Amino acid sequence: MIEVRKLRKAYGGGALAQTVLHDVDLSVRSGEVLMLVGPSGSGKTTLLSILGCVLTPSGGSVQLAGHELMGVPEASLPMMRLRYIGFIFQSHNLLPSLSALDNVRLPLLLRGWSSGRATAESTELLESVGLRDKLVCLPSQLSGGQAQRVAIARALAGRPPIILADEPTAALDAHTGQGVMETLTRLAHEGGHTVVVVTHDNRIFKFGDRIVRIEDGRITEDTAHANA
Amino acid sequence: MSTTALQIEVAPVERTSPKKVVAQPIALVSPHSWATMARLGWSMLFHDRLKLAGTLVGVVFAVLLSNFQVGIYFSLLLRNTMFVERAGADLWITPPGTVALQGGDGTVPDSVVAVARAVPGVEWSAPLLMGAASVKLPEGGQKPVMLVGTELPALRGGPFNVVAGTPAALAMRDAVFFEGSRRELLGGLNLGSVREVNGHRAQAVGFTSGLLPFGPSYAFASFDTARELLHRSNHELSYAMVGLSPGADVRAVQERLRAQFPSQEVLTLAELKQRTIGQVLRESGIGKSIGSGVAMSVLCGFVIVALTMFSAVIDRVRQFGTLKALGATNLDLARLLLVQAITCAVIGVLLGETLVAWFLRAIREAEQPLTLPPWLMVATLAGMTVMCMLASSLALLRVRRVEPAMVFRG
Repeated sequence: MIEVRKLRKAYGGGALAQTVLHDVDLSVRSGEVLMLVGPSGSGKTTLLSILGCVLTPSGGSVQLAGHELMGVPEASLPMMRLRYIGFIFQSHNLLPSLSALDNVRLPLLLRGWSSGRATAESTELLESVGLRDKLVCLPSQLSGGQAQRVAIARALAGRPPIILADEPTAALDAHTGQGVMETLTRLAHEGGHTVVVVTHDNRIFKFGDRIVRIEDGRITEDTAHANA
Repeated sequence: MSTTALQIEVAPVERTSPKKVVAQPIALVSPHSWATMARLGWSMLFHDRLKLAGTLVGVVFAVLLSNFQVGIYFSLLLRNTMFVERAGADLWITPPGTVALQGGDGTVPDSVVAVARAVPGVEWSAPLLMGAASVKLPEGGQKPVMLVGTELPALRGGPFNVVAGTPAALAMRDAVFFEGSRRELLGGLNLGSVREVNGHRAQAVGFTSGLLPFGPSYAFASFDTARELLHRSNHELSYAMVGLSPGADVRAVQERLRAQFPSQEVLTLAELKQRTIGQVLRESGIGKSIGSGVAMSVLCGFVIVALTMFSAVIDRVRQFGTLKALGATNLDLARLLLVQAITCAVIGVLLGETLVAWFLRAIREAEQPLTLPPWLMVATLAGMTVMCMLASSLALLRVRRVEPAMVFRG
């Protein structure tokens, strides 16, 4: 599902160029849940941004669902994101003016779904994350864990093959974080989504099929989960 | 890269064999984009009511100021052309070089009235005297009026808008109609009050309403009384008014009258109005001052709306980043801002026009300080919409520069 070969990313140019990813190779199978771990500044968020088509690589090759990312015009990246990627952010990043239901509907409407179909799908997704009774609530009326579960539902809306999660439990207490990760991995496995989770939180490593450690822009460990 | 076995706890998650997920097809150009962005734009707009209020203040401010400026402009023009409009003449025979009906441009011989009546296409012709006169006040001092003398019994040329007395009373010697809204200024005039006008006795026998040109208010008398009060000779008129027979061609009759009176000017109603407006604009410089006032009010509104919308984008930059990360394009976000701009314009114009209407009702009086033609509301809406759309372009420039990658930075 995700094939990364000799990926390089540098900021700036010439003598001042700062390389943050050095010839990274990474494969993530379809339906796999991968934990991307490492210290701050190691390059994991940069890697996630490139996989999420919000940042362009400096070199190498990135294939998402068989589509090469290198050379894709910037104007086409929103379409790539719409089609292949679902995002879960550190702070849920729900739109505060929209209800939980409308937040989940939004990516579907951007994909061109009809309003009725988007509502049905979004309601089902919110049910699956246990928020059937919170459809009309604004994000400000939800707890941190509930808001993050809405964000999971939004990421899964439209069944994108790849889900990218950036520190999804960082803003949550341990118990809530566990609950959120349980929900995410359960739905990802049920739906067959490929999931990449960037995290510092070693309490949620157990939810991954694989754990990949990145340090100084290089992958230093790639560990398969015992039960994967 | 080394592959190391880490000590990790097994999660209590049931692992099923992965399904094959196929990317859902999406429309290249979303047919719902406008509707989606409109709903999103409205929800953002109405969610932050303080910002919305700030934007609306800008639009309302621009609407109020521009409407007041334009209203004053039209009011002045209307008040200066009101007499020509109400007199009912199709053609005017005036002294050469006449730029407005002020009575001081010279005279025409009284014979033109009789001669004009014989010209084919002319149904009627009437003399008019007009000139400045001074009303002596009981407490001392004087006030100017523009005295109009009209021929009995037709009384073409006034008085109009009679609110007290009957025009037929002008047949009495020394009888004069004054402007009702100037009664206090003229020393507390009532029906029957006597004043000295240009050194002659004059008695108020009626009042008009709203006949207030840029200069002194109009007063009306019979032709003979006016001649006496204005010290005019028996054979001089200020102007001659001409009415056309039904179906007569105004241009053809105008040419015939010009041929008949080569030393006078023969003007159509439209030409005389145009000259009057031109003279008001030239003498008062009001066109420039009103125009710059309108421009300043629109500019102030533009700045307020632009800054408020820009500030709203700055406040929501993370939301716009999220939208971009979710797949919204710059075009989608431009639509969102456009919808917000148009919404602000429509609400702002409705609020502004309501305030203008309320103000007009509150000050409804003979002075008519504002004249707002119905089309001005449509023009205001169009102008404010354009203003808000242009103002939103500043916000759009900022939105275009929002990087979706920002959503991954904490």
